[in-house]
Amino acid sequence: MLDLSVNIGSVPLRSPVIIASGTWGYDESLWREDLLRHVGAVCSKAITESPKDGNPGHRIWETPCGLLNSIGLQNTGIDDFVDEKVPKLKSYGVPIIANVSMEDEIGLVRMVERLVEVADCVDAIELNVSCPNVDKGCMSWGVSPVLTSQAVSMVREIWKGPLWVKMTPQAPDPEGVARAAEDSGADALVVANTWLGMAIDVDGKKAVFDRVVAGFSGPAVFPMALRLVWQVSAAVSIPVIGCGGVSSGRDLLSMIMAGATAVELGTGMFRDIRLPENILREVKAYMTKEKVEDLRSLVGIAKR
Amino acid sequence: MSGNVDDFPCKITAREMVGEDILSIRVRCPSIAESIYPGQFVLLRDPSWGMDPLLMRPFAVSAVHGEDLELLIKLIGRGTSLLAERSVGDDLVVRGPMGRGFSSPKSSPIYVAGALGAAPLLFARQVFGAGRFVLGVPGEGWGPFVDHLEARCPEIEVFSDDGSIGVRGTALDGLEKGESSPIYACGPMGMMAAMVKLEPVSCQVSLESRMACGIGACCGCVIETVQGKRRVCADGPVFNLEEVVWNA
Repeated sequence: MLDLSVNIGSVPLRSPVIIASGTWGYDESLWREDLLRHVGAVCSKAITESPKDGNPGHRIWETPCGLLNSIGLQNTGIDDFVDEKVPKLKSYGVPIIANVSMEDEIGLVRMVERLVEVADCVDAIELNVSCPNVDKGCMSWGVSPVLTSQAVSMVREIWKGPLWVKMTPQAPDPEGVARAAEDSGADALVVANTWLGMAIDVDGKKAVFDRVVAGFSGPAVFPMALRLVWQVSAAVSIPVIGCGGVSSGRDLLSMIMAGATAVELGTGMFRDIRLPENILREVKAYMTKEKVEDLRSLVGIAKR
Repeated sequence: MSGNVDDFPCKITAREMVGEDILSIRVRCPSIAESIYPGQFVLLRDPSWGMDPLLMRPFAVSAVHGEDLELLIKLIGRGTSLLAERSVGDDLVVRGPMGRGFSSPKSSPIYVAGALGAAPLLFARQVFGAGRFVLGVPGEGWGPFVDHLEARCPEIEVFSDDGSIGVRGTALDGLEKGESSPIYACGPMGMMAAMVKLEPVSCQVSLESRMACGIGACCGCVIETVQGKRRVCADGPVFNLEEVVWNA
């Protein structure tokens, strides 16, 4: 019997495949048992203290094997998440990870205080200090070990449950940020979020996005995400969740062998809504062929 | 959202270029053909693409023929150009039906199309019945497309910007101010924004937007409405004319 269950700190997941923040909506048609059967957990869309409209102008631009986005954290705010979304999400029977996007200290504290009210329904907080598509807060905290430490400490003081930190690949010293997060009480690290990129509208002779820069994701970033997982997992002792361009079973296995305990799927979900199922089928075939019964035995194996 | 997020393998059953850069294609997909409603759309991907192009492409359905969906596709980028290279019998993947379609009319409707915007309106006409069908095209070069539409919609009234086809003018020149018949419209944003000035009693518009997921998850395709930002893929693509903020 193949065992694909994993533990992210104290959070048991039936599968190492997690749906990344911003890539799964709240519409009921998406929360079907057959679509989520193979999913370990679902991360909410990034939540901010107040509702956000997101960015104006173009928000999406496809590149070869990749995707630029400038959504800008459009969401209905923490109060709507706690009061309206959480009760529904709880009924679907899939672990829910609340992706909390940090803009400032006061807002972060208020969001976490509200999540404490529904702590029995939220399986972990994923502290997002990594979104590149907003001017205020977020990635500016995640590029600094000191500010990351401050942010994690603030959450840890209020939230006693599982706490993941979603890192930015823009950090000049990713190991330093990772260690700062671990030392401040993070239970796991998500490595990473989108890369900064941009696109030019050659016909219009101007930048495509109003903010000029945008977040780059998709299969094109996979080798860079894999490298970060390798680096960061060597620097910390808490679990690492690989995130960036995972599109196949071999991608998942590569992340695991580089030191990840699980992966998050983002852009790949847009292309193939049954990607979790298809990835796990491939992983199971590999495990059968290689006579590996427990996926956890492969974590970091490429480093040994 | 009201759509179906399932993917279906399907085969191309017919293809024809109906203009220099306009493809008419039929794909056999019984489950979508039996359930799709006018104004809803489908997402299309070619398995041979691998990871490039990465995303599925959204298209309006222009007709249902038995188990086949018919689409009218303007070749505007790499994905659509690659689709045009496919042949009858080739495999595609289709997801749908997606989004919210038109509400059915209470009286004989007027269909107002700007160029390729005719696609969802042809399907609406097939289901809701014939009414006035007003089409505006840029002009020279759109003859084969107009011929294609006239073959299935003989009552069509054609306007062209340069007067080379039909009457000189835009599709809106075919409308009266304060039109009381229900209007279904699809075309360039400028055309639909201009419809507001005509103050029609009832008008539903089908919008287009650059999309990533097409399932209501990413918020990449939003438009500004009087209720705030709404997703074209899941809250639309059909909206009431008066709920869209056209000068956003």
